[in-house]
Amino acid sequence: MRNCTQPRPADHNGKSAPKPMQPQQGFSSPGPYLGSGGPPPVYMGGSPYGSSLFNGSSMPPYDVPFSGGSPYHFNYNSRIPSGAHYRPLHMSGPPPYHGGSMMGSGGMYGMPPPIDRYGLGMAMGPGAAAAMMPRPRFYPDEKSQKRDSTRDNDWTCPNCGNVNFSFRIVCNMRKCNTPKPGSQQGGSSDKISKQNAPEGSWKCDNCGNINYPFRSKCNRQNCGADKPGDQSNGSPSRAPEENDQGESDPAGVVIGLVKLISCIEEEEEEESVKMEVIRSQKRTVSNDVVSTPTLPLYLTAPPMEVRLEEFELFAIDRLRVLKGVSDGLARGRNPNEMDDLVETLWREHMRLSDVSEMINKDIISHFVLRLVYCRSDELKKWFLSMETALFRHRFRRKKIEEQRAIVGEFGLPYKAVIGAELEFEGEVGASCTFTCRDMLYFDTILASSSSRNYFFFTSLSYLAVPFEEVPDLVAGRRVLLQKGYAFVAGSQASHGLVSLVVTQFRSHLSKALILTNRKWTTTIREREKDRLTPIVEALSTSYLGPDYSQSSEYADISLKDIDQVSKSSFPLCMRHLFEKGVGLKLDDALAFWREEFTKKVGSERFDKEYAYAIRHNYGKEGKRTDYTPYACSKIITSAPGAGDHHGCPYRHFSEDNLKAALSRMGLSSRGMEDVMDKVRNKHYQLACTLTFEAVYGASCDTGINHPNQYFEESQKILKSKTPAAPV
Amino acid sequence: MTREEIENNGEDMMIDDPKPKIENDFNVHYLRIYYDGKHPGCDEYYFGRREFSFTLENDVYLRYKSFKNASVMEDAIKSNFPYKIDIGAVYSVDPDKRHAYAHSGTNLFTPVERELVFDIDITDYDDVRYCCSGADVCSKCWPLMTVAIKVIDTSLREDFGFKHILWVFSGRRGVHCWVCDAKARRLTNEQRSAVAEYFRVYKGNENNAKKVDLMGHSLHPFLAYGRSYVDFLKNFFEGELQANQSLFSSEEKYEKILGMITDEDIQADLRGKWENSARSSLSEEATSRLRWEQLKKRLQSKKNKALSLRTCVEEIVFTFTYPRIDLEVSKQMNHLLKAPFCVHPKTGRVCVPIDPNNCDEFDPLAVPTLSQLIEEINSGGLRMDVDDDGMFSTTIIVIVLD
Repeated sequence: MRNCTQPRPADHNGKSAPKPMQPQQGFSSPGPYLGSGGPPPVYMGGSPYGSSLFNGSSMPPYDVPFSGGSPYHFNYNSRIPSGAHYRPLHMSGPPPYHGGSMMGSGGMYGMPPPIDRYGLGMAMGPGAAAAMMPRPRFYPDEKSQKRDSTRDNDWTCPNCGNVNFSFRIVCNMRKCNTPKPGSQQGGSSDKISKQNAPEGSWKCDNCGNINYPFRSKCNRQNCGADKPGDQSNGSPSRAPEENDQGESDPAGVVIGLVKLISCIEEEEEEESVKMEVIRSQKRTVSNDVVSTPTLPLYLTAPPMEVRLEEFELFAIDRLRVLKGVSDGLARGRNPNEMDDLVETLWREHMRLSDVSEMINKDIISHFVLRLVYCRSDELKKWFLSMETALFRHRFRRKKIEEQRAIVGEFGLPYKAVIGAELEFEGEVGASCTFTCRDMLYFDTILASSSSRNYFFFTSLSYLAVPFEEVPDLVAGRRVLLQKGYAFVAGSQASHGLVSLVVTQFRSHLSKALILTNRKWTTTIREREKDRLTPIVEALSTSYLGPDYSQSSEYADISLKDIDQVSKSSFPLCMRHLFEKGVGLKLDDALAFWREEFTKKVGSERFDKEYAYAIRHNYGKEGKRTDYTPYACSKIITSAPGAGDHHGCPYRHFSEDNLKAALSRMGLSSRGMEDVMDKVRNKHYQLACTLTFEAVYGASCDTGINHPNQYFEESQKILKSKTPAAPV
Repeated sequence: MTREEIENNGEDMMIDDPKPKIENDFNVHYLRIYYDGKHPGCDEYYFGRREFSFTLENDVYLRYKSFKNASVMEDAIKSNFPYKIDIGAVYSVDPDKRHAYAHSGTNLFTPVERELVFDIDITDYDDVRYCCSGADVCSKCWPLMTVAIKVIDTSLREDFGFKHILWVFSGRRGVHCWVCDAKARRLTNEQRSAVAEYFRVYKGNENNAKKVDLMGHSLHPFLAYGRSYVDFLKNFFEGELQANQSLFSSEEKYEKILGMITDEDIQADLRGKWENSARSSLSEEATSRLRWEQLKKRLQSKKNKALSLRTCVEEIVFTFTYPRIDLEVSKQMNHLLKAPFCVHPKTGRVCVPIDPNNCDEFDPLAVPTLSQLIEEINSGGLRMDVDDDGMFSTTIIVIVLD
C-alpha cells in the first residue's frame, strides 16, 4: 500500500467516464465476465456478483498487466454492496502489476522483494501458479491479446516510455508518476466524481481528492491533509449516519468484511452494514481518545469495510511478521530476544503513521489471515501458534496500564491479578496449605528466570486459577499447583499474567478458527468463489517453504550410494538417520534401514517394528499419506525420549558428543568453536548453517531450515565442483 | 410423571436439600427409565461416540469402531475375538459413521472427550536396570514402576486435584493410568501436554550423558518437598534400587554416573578412589552403597560453589528413579490405549487394575494368565474362600469370562 503511486482520482476518472458499449475486439472468448454487456451499473440491484460490471472499455487493462499476476483479477468488482456508491475497480492499482516486471515470475501481486528474506518469495512460485489455473481459460491466446491491447487512446509516458492505458492521467510506472501530456489533472475527474459524490463532499486543497463529507482528513494515501476549515482534527463527531454510503474510495471495491466472519444475513445487508459501521466509528473514536496503540484481542470481527487490495496487502504484511516470528522461534530465541524481534517486525511491516489506521490494519489483517488459515488443521495450527506468539510478545512490551486494560477487556474473572491488593478467589482460600517457603521459592524462580520487565510483590499476591488456564506455566513447573489450582503470581508483567492472558487469547482464537472454518466451508467459499476464495487460497500457500514432500531434481538416490552421499551431503542430524525427501525409493529404504538397524536390534525385530513405520512414512500403510519430512524447527522443538536416536544434534547432543561428531565431519577446530558458540547461545540452525559453510567452504545466505535443504545445497556445490559427479 | 420430570428430580436429589417430590426412592417404573438410556452402560449418545479399536490376529487393525450399546459391543467382541481392544476418545459423531460426515468438509469428526492417560513402560528404563532388558520384567526392576505409580498418583491427586484415577497393569511391561474426572476428560491437547510436561524431568537422547537437567535452580515444590523427591525417590534410590541393581558395583556402571557430574576434577577424584577399591572384600551391594556415600559427600561439600554441582546428586537420583512417561500417549486426545481387563497377546496376562495405595504388593508375575483362569474354572469353579490372589482371579473370571 505504501508505494502505491496511483492517485485515486485517476482511476475514478477512468471508470466513471467509460465508453461503455464499445465492443471489445481482443476478447474472442467471452469469459463469464462479459455477461450482459449492459452499461456499467452503479447500483448492483440484487445481483451479488456484478457479472456485468466488466464490459466495454474497462476490459483491456486486464490483458497485459495481469498475465502473470493474481488469479482473481477480473472478479474484483463482484459483490458490491448494493446501494453503495462503489464503482468497479480498475486493477491498474499497485505498481508491481505493471510493466511486466512481475510477469511470469509467478509473483504474488504486489509482493515486494524483501519478502524473500522470509522465504515467502520462494513459496509463492508454485502456490500462486497453482492458484492461477483458471487463467488460461479466459485468455486463450495471450499474444493476440497483447497485440490488441495497445489501444488507440493509450499514451506513452514522455518521461519513462511506459505505455499507459488511455484512462490513466499519470504514468503508471513505478516511481514515475508523470502526468499524462495534455491532461488537465483533476479537472475532469472532479467534475465526474462529483456526480456521484454525496452532498457535502469536499475536495482536498492539497491533492484534489474528493472526500466524503464526514471525513476530517483527506482519505488519499500519503496525503491526509485536513479538511479545509475544519479545525477539530480527528474530531469524534464524525457523522456516522452518512457511512452507509460506504467509503468513497474510487480505487477499491469495498467489501463488508464483517459478513465474512460473522455472516450477517445477506438480505439485511444494507441495514447491518450501517449499524456495524456506526459501531466501528465509535470504536475508532475511543481509540483516538486513548491515543496509544493498544493491542486488539480480535474478539469480534471488525465491523469496518475493507478495500480488496488492502484485504490482501495487509494480510501479506502480517504474514511477513508471522513468518519472522516463526523463524525466530525456530532459531530458539529467548523470550527477550523475541520481544525485540517482534517489535522490529511490527515496526517494519505493520506500522502506519495514523494510530487508528494502524489498529485497523492490525485487526483487518488478522481477520483476513484467519480466513486464510482456517482451512486445514495444519494451517490452523501454524497460524494459532504464530499469532499467539505474536500476541504474547506484543503484550509483554505493553505498559502496565495497557496490560491492565487488556485483561479487563477479556473479562477474566480474576481481576485481582492486576491490583496490588490481593483477592483470593473464595473457594480455594480454605484449602491452601502451602508455606511461605513455597511462595518464596516462586518469587526467586521468577526473578531469576528473566531480567527485564519483572517486578514482584513479595507479599502474598497470588491468584488461584484453575490449572487448565495456565498450561504453559504448568508445563514449565513455574507455578505452584494445589488441588487443581495454580497459584499465579499476581504482579504486573509477570509470567503469570502473561500466561493467563495468552492462554485466553489462544483458546479464543482456536475456537474462532474452527467457527471460521465452518463458515468458510459452508457459505463463504461458495459465495466468494470468484473474489475472495482465490486470494485466500493463494495466501495460505505462502508460508510453506519449499515443499520437500516431493523429491526434487537431485532426487533418486539409490541404496548403494547412500553411504557415500550421506558422508558428503547429509546434515549432522541425518548422518545416522535420513529422510525419504532425498529421494530414496521405498524398497531401498527398507533395505537400508534393515541393514542399519540390525546392527542394533536384530533383523526379526526390525521387520516387526520398524518396517511398518517406514512403509507408513512412504504412504503405503495406515493413513496412506506420503509424509513430508520434518523441517528443522520441528526437529529442534521435539524432544527425544529415552533410547531414541533422533533429534537435532546441535540441541540434543551433549557438548562432547557434538564435538566428536563435528570433527568426524571434518571440521577444523576454529570452525568448531564458532559452531559451539552458536550452540551455547541456542542458535541451533545457525550452528548448522555454520557447519555447512565450514564443510563446503561456500556461504549459505539463506540459512538452513530443513535437512533436505542442506542436502540440496550441498549437492549443488558438489555438482558445481565436479560436474559429472554421480549422485 | 414424564421422563423429564424424573430426570430433574433425580438431579435435585443430588442437592443437599432435595424437594420431596418422589415418595419412594425405588420402584419398577423408575428402574425402567434408569435402564432405558440412563444407565452409564447404555447411554447410547455418549457410549456410541466412543472409539474402540480391535487388533485381530496377524496384526490386523480395525480402528474407529463404535457400538450402539454394550450388547452390540459384546456381540462384536464375541464374533471377532480381538487379540487386543483399545479405547479411544469420545468423538463429536459416531466414529463408525465418520465417513458420512467427512464429505461436508467441515471437520465435524473431532475428539471431544477423553480420559487423561499415562503410559509408563519398563523398556524406557533399560539404561538404568541391569537385571532385564526389553520387554522383560522381574521383581528386581518392577519397583521402578511402583515408584512411578506413587509419584504420578500423588501428584495427580495433590497438585491437579483429580480423584478418579485408575491404574492398570498393561499385561507385560508397564502400567497405564486413566484419569477419569470430568475435568480431565475435557482437557484440550494443549492442556494435556502441559500436564505431561509437568511430569517430565527426563530429556536428552542416547547421545547425551546427562539426561536430567535441573538447571541448578532450587527444586520446584513438586520435585522438592515431601511429595516425590524425599518421600519416594531418594529413599527408593538408596534403599531398594541399590539393593536390586548395585548401581556402583562395576566400572561400566559407575562410569555412567560419573558422566553426569559436570566437574572433571571430581570425576577423576572419585574414579581414582573407586578403581583402587575394586578388589575390596565387600559385597557388590555394600560396595555400591559405600561409593554412593562417597559421591554424595564429595558433591555436597561446602567447597563447591557452582549451582550445577549442588543439584548433581538430585539429578543422579532423578535419572535413575524418576517416572519415565511416554509423553506422546498423554498429549493427544485421540491416542488409543489398551482397555483394562484385556488379555495381553504375548504373555496371556490379564490387564488387572492396580491399587495405588497398595502398589508395593503388586507382583506382575503373579497376575493371572488366561490358562490359569481356565484351569481354575475347570478345577473348582468359582471358589469364594481363597486367599488374596485367588480373590483377584475369581473377580476377573466374573468380568472376563462370564
